[in-house]
Amino acid sequence: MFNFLPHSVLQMSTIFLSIVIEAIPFVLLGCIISGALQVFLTPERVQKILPNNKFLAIVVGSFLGFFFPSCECGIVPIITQFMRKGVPEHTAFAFMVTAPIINPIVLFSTYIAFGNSMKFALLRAVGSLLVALLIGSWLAYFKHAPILKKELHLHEETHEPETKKTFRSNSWSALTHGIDEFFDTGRYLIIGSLIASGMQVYLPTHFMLQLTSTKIVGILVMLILAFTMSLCSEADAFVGSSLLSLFGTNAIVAFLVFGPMVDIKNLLMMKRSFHTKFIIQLIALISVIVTIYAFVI
Amino acid sequence: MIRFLILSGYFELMMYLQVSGRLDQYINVHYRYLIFLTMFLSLVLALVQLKIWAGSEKKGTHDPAHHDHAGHDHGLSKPYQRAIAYLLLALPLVVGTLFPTISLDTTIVEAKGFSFPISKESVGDPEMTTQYLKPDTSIYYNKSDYNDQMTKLMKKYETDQKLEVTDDNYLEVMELIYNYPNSFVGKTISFNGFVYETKKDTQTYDFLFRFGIIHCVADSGVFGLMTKLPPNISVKNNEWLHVEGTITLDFFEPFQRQIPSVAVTKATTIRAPKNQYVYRAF
Repeated sequence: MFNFLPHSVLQMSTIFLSIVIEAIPFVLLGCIISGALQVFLTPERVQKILPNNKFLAIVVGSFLGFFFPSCECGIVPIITQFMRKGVPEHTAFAFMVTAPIINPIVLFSTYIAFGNSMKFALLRAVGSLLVALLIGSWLAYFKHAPILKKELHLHEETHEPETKKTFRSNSWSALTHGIDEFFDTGRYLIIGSLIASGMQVYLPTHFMLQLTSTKIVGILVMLILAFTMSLCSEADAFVGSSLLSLFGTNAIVAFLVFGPMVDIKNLLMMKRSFHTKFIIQLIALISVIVTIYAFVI
Repeated sequence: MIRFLILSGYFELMMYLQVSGRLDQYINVHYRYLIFLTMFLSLVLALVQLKIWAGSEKKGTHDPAHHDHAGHDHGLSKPYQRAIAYLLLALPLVVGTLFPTISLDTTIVEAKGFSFPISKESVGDPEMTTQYLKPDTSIYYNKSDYNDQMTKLMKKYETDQKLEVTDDNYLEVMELIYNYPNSFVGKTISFNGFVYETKKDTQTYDFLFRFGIIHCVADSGVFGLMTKLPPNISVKNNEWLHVEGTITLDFFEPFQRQIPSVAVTKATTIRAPKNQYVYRAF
C-alpha cells in the first residue's frame, strides 16, 4: 500500500519516522513527569523554600528546573499558576527559561542525540542559566510594569484547594495528566518532525549554504527555525544534531538554547496570560542574549 | 477511545518494528533501548487511558479530555483541535505500518547535497565539516580520546596491503582513509556501494557511496570514495557495484582539493544488499 507515492515522499516519510522513533520515548517520559509535577509540586512548597534575597531567588528559580523537570509546552501555565500564588516574577521566569533545558531528561536526550557527548548538553545548560540570570535580574531590578493580565488575578483560588488526596489518586491524576500532555505536545513533535524531514529531502543545498555562510547568519537562521519548528525540548536535540553538519556548533547551540524558551506554541500560551508588550520585550531580550552567547562560544 | 487506540498503537508499532527487523532501517540498533522505553511508557499510558475510557462508558458523561485540569490549559478544548492532534499523532503509525520501507538513495544525496564544500575555512569553525564523504566522528568524542581511538584503529589496518571493506568496518575504514590518506595510497581496496555521478563543467565524477547511520536515518550521511572506473564500464545512479582497485589521491574540482579516490581495476554490478545501510559501532 502507498507504493504509488512519489519516491521523494517515501524517502521523507522514512526520515520522518526515524525522527519520531528517536524522540517519542523522551516525549512520553517528559509528559508523565510533567503530570506528576502538576500534582505533587505545589507553589506553596516552592514559596516556603524560596529565599528573600532577590538574586538568590533568581538562582533558585534557575536551578529549580533541574529537580522539577517540565517541558516548555506545560511551563507557561505552571508559571502563571506560580505567580498567582505569589512566587516572585524573577524566580518564575528564571524557572521558565531554564526548566525545559536543565532538567535531567532533556540533558540526557541531548547527550544521546549528540552521540554520547557531554559537550552540547553542557553548552546548552550554561546558555540557559546565563539567560535565566539576565532575565531574572532584569525583572528583579529594572522591570516594574505588571506582567500578568488583570483578569487572571481575579479568579484566584478558584481551582483550589488541592485537598488531601491519597497518593494513589494523586498518581492516577498524574498519569492522566501525562496523557493529556502527550496529546497536546505530541502534535507539535509530529509537525516539527515533518518540517525537519521535509527540509532534508526538499531544501536545496545551495540555498542552505548561502544561509550558513557566516556564523551570525547561521545563528539567526537557527533562531528562526527554532521558533517556527516549535520542537519539544525533549526531542529537539535530535533534530539539532541532524542539522549540525549543515550549520555548525554555534548555530546549533543557539537553536538548542533558544528553542525551548521561545516557540510558536509557547507564545500562544503566553499571550493568554501576559501583557503583549512584556512578551515582546522578553523575546527580544532572550534573542539578543542567545545570539551573543552562541556567537562567542 | 481514539486516545487508547493511538497510545496502544505506539506500543504495537514499536513491537512490530522490533519483531519484523525493520528497526535497523530507521535507527542504529545500538539505540534499541529507546524502543523498549517507548513500549513500556506507551503501554502504561494506554492502560490508564483504557481505564478512563471504561469508566466514562459506565458513567456515560465524563469526557476524558475534560477532566480536572487544575487551572491548566491544554489548548485542546475545541473539537477540531483535538481532531488535528489525533490525526497528527496517528500519522507515524500509518507511515510505520502501511508505507513501504525504502532505503535512502541518490535523491537524498542530491537534496542534502554533497556538492557542498567543506567549509572549515569559510566559517572558521573546525567542526563545520560536513558529514558527507568523510565520516568525521570527531565531533562526538573529545580530542585526545579521538586521537587515541584513531591510532588504535590505524594499527589494525596499517600493515595490511589489501583492505577488505565489509559492512561492519565500512565507516571505520573510510574515516581512516580520509584522516590519513597518505598512509593508504598504493594499497588495494575492495568495497561495495551505490553509484553517485556528479558533473562539474565537462568533467564527470563517479562516487561509490553508502549511507552511514550514526543514530538515526535523519542524521545519516553518505560515506564513500571517489572512483575512477575503467572506460569500458558505464554506470548509472543508484546502481550497486563491487569494486577492487588501488587507492590514490585525486583533485576534485568542486571541493578545490585532493581527495582519496580509487583507481578501479575490477568492477562488477551487484544486487542491492538487503540492508543498504552501514552503522557506526560504539
